[in-house]
Amino acid sequence: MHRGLELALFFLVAALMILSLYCVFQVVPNEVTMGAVQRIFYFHVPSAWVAFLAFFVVFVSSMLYLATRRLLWDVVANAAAELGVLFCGIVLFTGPIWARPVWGTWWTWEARLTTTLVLEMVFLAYLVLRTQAENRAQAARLSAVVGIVGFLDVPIIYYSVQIWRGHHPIVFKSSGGQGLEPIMLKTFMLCMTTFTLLFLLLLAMRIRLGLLQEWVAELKEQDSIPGA
Amino acid sequence: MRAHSATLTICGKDLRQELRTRESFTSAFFFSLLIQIVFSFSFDFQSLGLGFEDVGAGILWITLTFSAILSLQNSFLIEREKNCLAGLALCPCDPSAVFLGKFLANSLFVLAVQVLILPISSLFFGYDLLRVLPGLCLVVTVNAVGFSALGTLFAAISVRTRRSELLLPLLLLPAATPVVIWGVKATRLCLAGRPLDSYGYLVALSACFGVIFTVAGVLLFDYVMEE
Repeated sequence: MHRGLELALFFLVAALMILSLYCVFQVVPNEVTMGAVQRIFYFHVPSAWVAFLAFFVVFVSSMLYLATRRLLWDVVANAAAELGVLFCGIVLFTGPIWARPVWGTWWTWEARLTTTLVLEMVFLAYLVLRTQAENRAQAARLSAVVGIVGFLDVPIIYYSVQIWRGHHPIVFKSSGGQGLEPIMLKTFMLCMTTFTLLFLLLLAMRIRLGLLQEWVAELKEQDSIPGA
Repeated sequence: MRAHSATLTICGKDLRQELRTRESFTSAFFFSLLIQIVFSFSFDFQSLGLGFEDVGAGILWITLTFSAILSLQNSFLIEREKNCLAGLALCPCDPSAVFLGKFLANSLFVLAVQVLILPISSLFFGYDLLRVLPGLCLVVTVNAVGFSALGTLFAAISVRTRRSELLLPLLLLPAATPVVIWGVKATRLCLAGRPLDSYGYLVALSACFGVIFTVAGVLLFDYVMEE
C-alpha cells in the first residue's frame, strides 16, 4: 500500500480509537445485570471478529499463493496469521476477565471458548512451522497447506465442541443481540469499525515490513555469492 | 502406473518394510503399553472405586492418539534416510497415490497396535472386552482412520522441517480435536453398554471428518511433496 494512504489510515484509526474509548467509558450506560465489566464486550467481540477475519485472510492468501506462487501472497498470509494469533490472544485474555464476575469462573469449556482456544493453537503451530522450514519457498508452501487445512477445520472443531459440551446455558447473546440499547449498538458498531480498520492498518504495515524482510534476505543472498 | 495400483504398491512397500524391521510397530506398541501402565498408577481404580466406564474412554484415546503420532511420524522419517522422499516425489504416478498409499499403511499400523492394546487394557483394567467388542471395533477403526488421514498429511509436512518430531504433535493435536472428541464420546457410550443407535451419529461424523481430510490430502499432497 502507498505510504501516504497508510499514514492517513493511521491517523484515522488513532482518532477512532480515542473516540471508541470515550464512548465505551463515558457515553454508554452501565449494563443492568452485568455492570461495568460488560464494557469489555466492546473490545472483546471486535477482537474475535478481527481474529476470524485474519484467519480467513490466511486461508484466501494461502490458496492464492499455491495457485500463483507469488511471494507476496505468502507475506500476506504470514502477516494475517500473526495478527490473527494476536487478536485471538486478546479474545482469550479479555474473555476470562468478563467471565469471572458474570459467569463466576475464569474459564469454562463452552463451545465458543474452546473453539477459540483450539484455533489459537492451530495457528500458533502454523507460525512455529514457518520458523522450522528449511528454505523460504518451502516455508511458504508448507504453511499454505496448513493455513488452508486449519481454516477448513474451524467449523468442524466448533461443531464437535458443541456436541461435546452441549449448549451452554449462558451464551454471549445475553449481552448482545436484540435487547441492545441503541446507544450501545452504535458504540458497538463504532468499535467494530475501529478494530477492522486497525486490523487493516496493522496488516498493511506488517506486509510492508514482510516485503522489506524479503528484500533484505535477497540482498544478503546476493552478497554471499563469491565474486558477485 | 494406474492410481490404485500405485497406491497399493506404496502401501505394500511400507508394510513389507515394517514386517522386516518392525520398528514402528514395536515402538508404538511399547509406548502404548507404558501409557496404560502410567494410567493405572495415576488412577488407582481399586481404592478410588472408579469403574473403567468412567475414565476408560479417555485412557484408550490418549493411548491411541499418542501412539498414532509415533507411527505417523515414523512413516515419513524412514523416507528421509537416503533421500527416499525425493524418490517418492519422482514416482511415475500421481502424488495423491503416494498420499493414499501412506494413509492406508498408516491406518493399518495404528489399528494393528490397537488390536494388541485393547485386550491388554481389558486385562489391566478388568472390563469385559467381548461384551463391547463389535461397537468398540467400529468406533476405534473409523476414528483411527480419520485421525490417520489428517495425520498423514501433517506428517508429510513436518518431516520436511528441521525439528519434525516436535512439530507433528503441535500441528496435529489441535487440528484433530474433532475426531478425539467424537471418539472419546462414542467410546464412553459404547463402554457403558449403550446400543449403537446412541452413538452411531458420532461414528458417522468421524467418518465425514476422515473423508474431508482424505480429499484435502489428495488435493494438497502435491504441494507438500515438491522439492
